[in-house]
Order: sequence, then structure tokens, then C-alpha cells
Amino acid sequence: MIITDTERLVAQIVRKMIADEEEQKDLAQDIYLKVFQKLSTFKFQSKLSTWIAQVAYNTCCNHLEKRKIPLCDIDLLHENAFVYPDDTERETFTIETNNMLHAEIGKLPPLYKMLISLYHIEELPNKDIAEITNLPEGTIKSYLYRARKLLKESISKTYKNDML
Amino acid sequence: MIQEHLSDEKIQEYILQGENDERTNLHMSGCEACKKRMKDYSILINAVSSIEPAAFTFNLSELVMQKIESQRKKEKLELYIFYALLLGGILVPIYFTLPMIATIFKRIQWLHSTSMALLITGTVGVILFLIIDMFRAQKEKELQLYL
Repeated sequence: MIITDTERLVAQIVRKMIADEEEQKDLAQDIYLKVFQKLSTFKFQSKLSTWIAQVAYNTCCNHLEKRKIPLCDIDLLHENAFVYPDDTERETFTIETNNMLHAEIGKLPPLYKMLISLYHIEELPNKDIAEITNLPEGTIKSYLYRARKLLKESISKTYKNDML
Repeated sequence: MIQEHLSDEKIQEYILQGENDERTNLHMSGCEACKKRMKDYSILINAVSSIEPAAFTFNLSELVMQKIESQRKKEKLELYIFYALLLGGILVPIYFTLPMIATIFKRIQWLHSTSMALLITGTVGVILFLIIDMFRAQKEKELQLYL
């Protein structure tokens, strides 16, 4: 029951943060094993799904840390400090296929991918995302802005010839 | 009207929050570049929001139940090993001290047999309690590391 109710949210976190499918499989099992072992300590201070998502997020972070994969690539952020191109001449871009969008989202750092999914696909409020990630709401907002900006620039760059 | 172009943050806010200050609205109505950037962001946000949610390609419930079962077996085995070691830890010293027990008893024969039984039970009890407590603390630590 718990698994069925929360699997979708956990999948959003695990699949966005971990690229390898076998690792996703192992981590998903570990997450629910921890949940069942720690269920008695759940204090009902938050929604059960948020608590499980928190376990999923922490498990993925620990895994990435072990693999020395950065959650959020700082260099990438500096490279993308505000630049306002004069784009009055070009047409507005179009997003033609879902695959293309998936591919571009896939290029984002793990934390950004996950935040984009939780906010736009799962439609979680910033407050819940902040609880899951244990980050301040302001930081979540700012990461989301940067993630969208990176995504937009990345799509513009990659598909320049076809779309602009 | 704001002369400088709007920042990406401001444009995203403009789309997501709907309501904006007068200055931003005024700039947006007169600036073609910002209008285009806003349209780009709108397309992007709509496209991302319409993505099908990611799902696992395997039967998670089944895998988790299997994992829980194997974990239970592992824990049972660990518990058996722990009790075997505990028993060994008690019996081996007793076996080696057996020849000396008569001498020890002679030296403390002034103690009443009931007091003796109490002393032995108490000592064994305390040792057992300490070992079990250590085991529990270890398990708790492992769990804390998990989360």
C-alpha cells in the first residue's frame, strides 16, 4: 500500500538523480527497506509521502557522494551568470518532441533535474520540496530559476539550426 | 518603463506568478526582446509540465518484498551468530575456570549459598544486559547511518 501510493514520487527523485537503471533498482529497494525499518520513528509532523521522499532524496545524495558525482555543478552555474542576448530578430523556439526535452533535462545536474520534476511534473509546492531536500525555500526558488535558465539555453544551443 | 531588459528570474516570475508590478508590466508591453524571452520560457514551462511522470521499469513492490524477506533471514542469522558467540563467551571461560572453582568456593565459603547464587546471577545478568545493550546501540547507529 505504502509503496503503491508513493512509488511515483520516489521514481521522480531516483530516476532524475541516478542515471544507471541497475543502481536505480538497488536504491529504490534500499529506500523502502529503510522506510519499513524506520516507520515506527515517523512522527506525523509531515505527510508520509514527504517523509518517504526525504528518505529517497537522502539515499540518492549519499549514493552520489560515494560516487563523487556533484549534486549541483557550481562551474556550470557561474558560466551561466546572467547574459541578456539581443534576440529580437529570431523566432521564438519550439519544443518539438518529448524526447528532445528529456534529453536536455538529462544534461542538467542531478539536483536541478529533480527539482524541475518535483515542481513542474509532481506540482509540489516549494515548501514540500524544501522539506524533502532540507534546503531553504529561497534556495529552492533560486535553483529552479537557474535550472529553467540552463534548460532554455541548452535547448537553444543544441537545436540552434533547427529551431532558431 | 524600465530601460534595462528584465532578468531571467523576473521573466520566469512574470509567467509563474501571474501578477506583477506596474513597471514590469509596462516594460513587457513595450519590449519585443523581453516578450520573446517570455514566450520562450512559457513554451519551456508548458512543455516540462506536460512531461509524463517518470516511472520505474520494474515491479518495485515485488522487489521490496523480496529484499525485506532476505533482510529478515540475514538478521535472523546474525542473531543466531550473536547468541552462539554469547553462549561461547560464557561457557568457554566457565570450562577453563572449572578446575579453579573448587578453590574459589573454598575461599569464599563464608558466603551463604543463597548470597552466592544471587552474586552469580547478578554478575551474569549485568554482563548479558551490557552485551545486549551494545548490540542494540550498534543496530540503532546502523539505522541512523541509513537515513
